[in-house]
Amino acid sequence: MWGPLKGPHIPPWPNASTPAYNGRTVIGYFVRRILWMIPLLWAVATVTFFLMHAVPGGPFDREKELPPAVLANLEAKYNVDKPLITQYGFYLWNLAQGDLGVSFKTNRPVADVIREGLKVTAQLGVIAFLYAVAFGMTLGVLSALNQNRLPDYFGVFFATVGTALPNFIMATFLVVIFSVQLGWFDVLGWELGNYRKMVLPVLALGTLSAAYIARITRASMLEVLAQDYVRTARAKGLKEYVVVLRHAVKNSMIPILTVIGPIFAFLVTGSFIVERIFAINGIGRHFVQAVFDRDYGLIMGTTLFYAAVVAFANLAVDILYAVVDPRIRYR
Amino acid sequence: MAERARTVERIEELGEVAARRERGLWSDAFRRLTRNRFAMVALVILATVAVVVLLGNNFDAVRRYDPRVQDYSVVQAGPSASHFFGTDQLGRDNWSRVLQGTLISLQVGLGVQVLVLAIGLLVGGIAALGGRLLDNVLMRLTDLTYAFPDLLFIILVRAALSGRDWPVIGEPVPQMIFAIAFVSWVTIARLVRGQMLSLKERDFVLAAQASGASPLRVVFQHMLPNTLGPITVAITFGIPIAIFAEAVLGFIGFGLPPPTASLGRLVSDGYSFVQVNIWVVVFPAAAIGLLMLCFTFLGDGLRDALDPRQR
Amino acid sequence: MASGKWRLPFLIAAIALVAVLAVSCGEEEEEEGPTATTAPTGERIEGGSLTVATLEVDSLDPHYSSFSQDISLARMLWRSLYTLDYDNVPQPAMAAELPEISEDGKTYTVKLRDGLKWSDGDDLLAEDFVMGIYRTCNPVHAGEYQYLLTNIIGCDDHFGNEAGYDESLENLIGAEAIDDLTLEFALNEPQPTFPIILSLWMAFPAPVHLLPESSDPWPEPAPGAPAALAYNGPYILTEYQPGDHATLEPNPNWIGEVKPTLDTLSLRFIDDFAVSNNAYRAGEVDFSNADEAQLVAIVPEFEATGEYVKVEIPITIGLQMQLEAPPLDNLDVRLALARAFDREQLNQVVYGGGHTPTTSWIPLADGGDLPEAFEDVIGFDVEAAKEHLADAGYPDGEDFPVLSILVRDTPTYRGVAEFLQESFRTALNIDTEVEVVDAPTRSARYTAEDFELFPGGWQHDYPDPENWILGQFETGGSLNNYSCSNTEIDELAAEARFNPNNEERLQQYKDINRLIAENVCGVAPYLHFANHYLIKPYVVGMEENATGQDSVMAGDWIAEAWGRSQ
Repeated sequence: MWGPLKGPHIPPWPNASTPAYNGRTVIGYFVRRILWMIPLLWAVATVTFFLMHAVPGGPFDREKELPPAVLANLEAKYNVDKPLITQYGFYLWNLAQGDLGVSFKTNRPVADVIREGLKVTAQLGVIAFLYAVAFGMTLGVLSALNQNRLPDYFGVFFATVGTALPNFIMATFLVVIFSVQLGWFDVLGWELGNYRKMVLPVLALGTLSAAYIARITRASMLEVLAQDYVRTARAKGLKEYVVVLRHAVKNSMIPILTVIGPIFAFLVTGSFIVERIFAINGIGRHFVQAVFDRDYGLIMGTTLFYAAVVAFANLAVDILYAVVDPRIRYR
Repeated sequence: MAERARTVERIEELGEVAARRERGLWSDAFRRLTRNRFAMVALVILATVAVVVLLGNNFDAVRRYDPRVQDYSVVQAGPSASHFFGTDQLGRDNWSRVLQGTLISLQVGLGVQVLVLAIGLLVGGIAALGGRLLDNVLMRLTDLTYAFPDLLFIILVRAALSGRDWPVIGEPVPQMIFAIAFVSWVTIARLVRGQMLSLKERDFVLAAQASGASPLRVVFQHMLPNTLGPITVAITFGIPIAIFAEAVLGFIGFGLPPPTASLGRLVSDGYSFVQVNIWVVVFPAAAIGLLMLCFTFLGDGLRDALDPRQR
Repeated sequence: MASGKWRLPFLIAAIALVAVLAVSCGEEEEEEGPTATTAPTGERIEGGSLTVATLEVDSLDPHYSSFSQDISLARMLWRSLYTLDYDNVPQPAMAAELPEISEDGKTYTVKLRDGLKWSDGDDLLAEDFVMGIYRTCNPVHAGEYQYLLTNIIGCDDHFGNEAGYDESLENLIGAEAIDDLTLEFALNEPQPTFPIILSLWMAFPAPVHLLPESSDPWPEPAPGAPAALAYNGPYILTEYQPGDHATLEPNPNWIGEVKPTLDTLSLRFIDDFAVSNNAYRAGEVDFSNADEAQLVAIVPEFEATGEYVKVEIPITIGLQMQLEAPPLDNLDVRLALARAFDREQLNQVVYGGGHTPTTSWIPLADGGDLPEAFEDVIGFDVEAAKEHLADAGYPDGEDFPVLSILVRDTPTYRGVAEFLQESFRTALNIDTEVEVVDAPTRSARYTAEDFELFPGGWQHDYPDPENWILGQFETGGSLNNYSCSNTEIDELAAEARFNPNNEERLQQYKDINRLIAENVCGVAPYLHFANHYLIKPYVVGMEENATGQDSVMAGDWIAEAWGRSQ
């Protein structure tokens, strides 16, 4: 639910310094964007580091207190007994060498934890993303083409219900009805290739995004279909599907691009809720669990990872935008 | 001398025409909105809900039970004549809890968007009008906020603020509003900036500037009203998103403290008992859904009505 | 949201261990020869597999970890010199017989059985057990249960060494391999309960042939861990998938009397009991802990088929009060609060009737009193509560300050807090504020004594009343976070701690128990907890062995007895 909370990614165009105005600097602009990510990640790391130490409670606060000797040794083991600045320095130094540190809970390298979880989450996320885009766009296009007829009503219904239902409710009901009662699917886990373990998590994760995309696609298509140049294409006698595919769909994609970035980032970094309800060992749950545990090492690692994914996703969207938006290209 | 006077006259006329056009545009938009059936229905529903909720939270006749009162003889009951929406596991009446929850959810949703609007206008406006340096700095700031994981930030902000007896921000609901708003202002800011940047070059703005209006006047009287279109739409869409976000926070354990319960908290509380008593989840979830739908349709309607292309 | 179920509580420091303990324990120790630790098992078939839902482990290192689920898994993979039987009496496991104790009670000589082997075929020798002790005392590992070994000479010195690992200090530790099959322990003070210590996980052996130095890191819970370790318990770890599952198979070199019959035992990691319950219903797991919040639905659903199993465990929860926060320093106020809520109803409404209401802090089984023993002192009585409040100077709740109830954010804790809040409002006409925070914040505030009202409690570590009192109720006790300070209790505790007369000692603890109730000295108990399990009918050995010794799963202290009936 975090992607939509941030809202669509609005590219920093147009403005007076839009690079597309001058073809030569497009590459330069993107190189600068990539370079800019380094200070961005540094800023994220710094803010996260100091904020997380400002929150009450620490990684060794247990239900029952630890004896002082144990606490002293634990803190020494993880360098938590040093002054904050020193710890920050250590962290940055390691980060510069590509070392993301260790999880305070399991003592495993953060990189390993993320890599393992990412495999599963990425599989689930990508498939949910494809479902959301494919299903959402198809539904939106069909809706728009059949405005106010049956397919449209179905499309609108799906789009509105899909965005109105919190995904943990949907996931629970899906599990209770289809897994427990009917036994069509499994309750637990994710396994690529095993439909019993794939269908429900994908539905639970991707439906909100699919509905959102459907809505936007429909609105955008309707707008485009009413445009002059579409009428011109029709008047020229072009076949309907050519009109639709070549002109309408491509041009209506532009507003969709603004939401695809955050949606992709959201899906790929995993939904804590879906992973919890289906007991899937992805990285989604680590995002939240690390904060609950005050696992400083893992918090830093997951935050940086997320920031990097978002930054790259947005960059990719900006590139797509430049490719797709005719107005920018023509200039 | 006379020529100059005539020129000034002419410019003033243009300014007036522009102003009149703006007013005309607003009433045009309003008419388009009223013709949109979905949006009107949504508006009516929202108005009804608002009235019922406001009455319900202040008049016992409407809510029928105090939402805090626990009656252990009717624990986990389904809907009935005495308890419209049934009761929860502590025997509290669901109908009154949902009324209270709706009010709080609306407060959170609207509160977040008001704050987001304020921050967005400020940051976006300054970025657009304050020169290149300020623009760059603020845009980098938005990048940073955008890249930050929301949940962590919300937890941190709330943890940092809770437990201190500060006025206003020490209360749980404003805290929640502040925390959510803090991560969601980026879009509006960028929107405002984009709008302002393109408006800067528009004729009527130049005319207003030429006729000697102070920059503040130009901004507030001429530019701002024209940015409100897409911003209103974004805000309207943002309200259900904020409500949703609060619900998710409640679910994972960062909701509002008892006994106040927003709709999100009601759903997440009831979620643990869903096998026992499904109604405790159904009604608040339906309420969330209803609010989201209404705001979404309203937003759609507003967007169609205010669409500049249809001028 | 439970991450880690009941974290096993901590024994108090050296003092508790130095105590001359339960003569009852001592008596049974004098029985002749080792008694078999046979567990009743139904008819088990050879083979088959079980999938058991549990919480994920944070560490595979028994010399470090303190979490219940970690210890639960460790017990399946390793065993120590002794093991506790049904009556919590140490019986020889890897040792050949009970230890030889010197005249002064400070030297323990333990002989190992012949022919002990690790799962990978290497010989299991005395040096492996010594290495286990060394690892626990090594500051590098920061073992959370190290203090249980405080009575072994030199362990504290090494562990508390600020400079870290020190070979010379380590060599001074009172654990030595006299020869391949003989161990000698040197203690600071005589300690009849030392064999109990030698049954616990911090004394598990460490494979010297794989981890030659005591500072070598133990493999973390990762896919590579199973191959990097050797085991001497009933099972071996063959597969570990973080966040998903662990697979165990019988250890071919297991020397215990009860042998595992399963082909594979699969531990499926599921954080949320509601989710594991659904998996149980769908047949994807054969065992699950029941979700407390849904007991109202679960009991009728599973009781008839016998799949629902309830086991009393030695946990007492009460309303803890910070005596240093006025007006809680006033006994009448505390009595008013203690008598203002109905324990029976609390149990029914919040826990679906799954636990046992109580007014006694120490459970009867641990040398305490019956649950209703102090009903007339702190039991539910609205009139009496009102009187006490008036006596305290707040007739009908007038001018009474708003106290805060600090709880964790789980459905049951929230329910308790809201229940209490409402009870105080209707019975005493006072307002309270509920503070819901996450677990680390709650723990941090508790340790810092920054709370007013705090629903919380204690789980015993061994079945003796002293474990419920020492450190928790004496003035200035290290675990006395509620600032209980009562001279009578202090005197009794000081006497009972070293009292060689067992009957007298037990009576003294009972007196303290009564004083706690009468003075509401820090806590007004309200529930004794129970574990609730869902066990498929064809599972053998779990229900039969479910006792208060369970960590996370029914009968997980003797997992070799698990099997299938079909």
